[in-house]
Amino acid sequence: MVNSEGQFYTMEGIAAAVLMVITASLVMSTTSIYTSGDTHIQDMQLELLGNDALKVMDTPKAAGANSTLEELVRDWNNTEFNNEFNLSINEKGINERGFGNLYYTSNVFYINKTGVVRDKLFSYSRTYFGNPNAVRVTRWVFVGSNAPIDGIGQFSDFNRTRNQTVLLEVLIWRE
Amino acid sequence: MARVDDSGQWIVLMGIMVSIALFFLAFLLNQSTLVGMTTAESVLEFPKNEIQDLRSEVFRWAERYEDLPPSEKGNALRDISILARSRKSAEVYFKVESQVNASGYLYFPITIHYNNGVTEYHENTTYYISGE
Repeated sequence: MVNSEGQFYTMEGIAAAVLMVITASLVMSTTSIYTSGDTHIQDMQLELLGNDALKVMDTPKAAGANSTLEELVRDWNNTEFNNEFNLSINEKGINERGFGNLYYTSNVFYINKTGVVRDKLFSYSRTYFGNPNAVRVTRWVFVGSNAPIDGIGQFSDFNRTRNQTVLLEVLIWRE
Repeated sequence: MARVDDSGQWIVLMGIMVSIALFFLAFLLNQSTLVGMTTAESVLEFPKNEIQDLRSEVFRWAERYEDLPPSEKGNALRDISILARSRKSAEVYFKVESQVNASGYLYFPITIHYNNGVTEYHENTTYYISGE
């Protein structure tokens, strides 16, 4: 014969046990800190956008021809790069700034005459200074031999005598 | 101790179940942000764009390869592997072999290796010049 007395105490005990377990798990989980998922999702979108923009600019105009990006880096035409890249990553052009625009700064890395990796500031829409959450996108750029003396060949340690492949690095961030 | 009134136990039981369900929902909501983070992180970590960029650069190199003097043929590999090591912490190797004529089809065999410590990529492919 089952005695139904004391069921209330049992229930109270279960409730207390559940509370204790939840409290313990809450206390344990406070030691690990997660950044919110949003920042990573935004980073991912920025990275995809930047890579796509560079890919568009690095697509040759015809089979065997140079791409726009190759010509701009070879001729060190940072004004035109600024226009084109801004048009690609922002909905608006550079002269019509609006809400939530993306900004960038870019460097070109190359191997100089003595075989050392050097970099030069190429083009930027805003100086990078303590801004949060910039992502880096890169693109290989082929610069032929005899780079023009008013282009990338203007740097005294740049080896103009052989064809070179340089690395264009772009930092993109949202302000 | 006085006898406990055991009526209304169903209501108490339901109360406990509802509170557990609420905790469960809160837990789900808490986890959903983490799911977004880990997905975005693994997408960021996988060097899809680096590999695609390297491939396109190697194919473009193969386009030009034929016309280059022998002393210039190693330049792209040297530049790319040194810059990749210093700027991307990745080991890169690629090779464009000499032209092959397979019953009228001319092509360059191409080998590409990429390793950044997390992701490894190997590819043997060909760049076709012309078919007859």
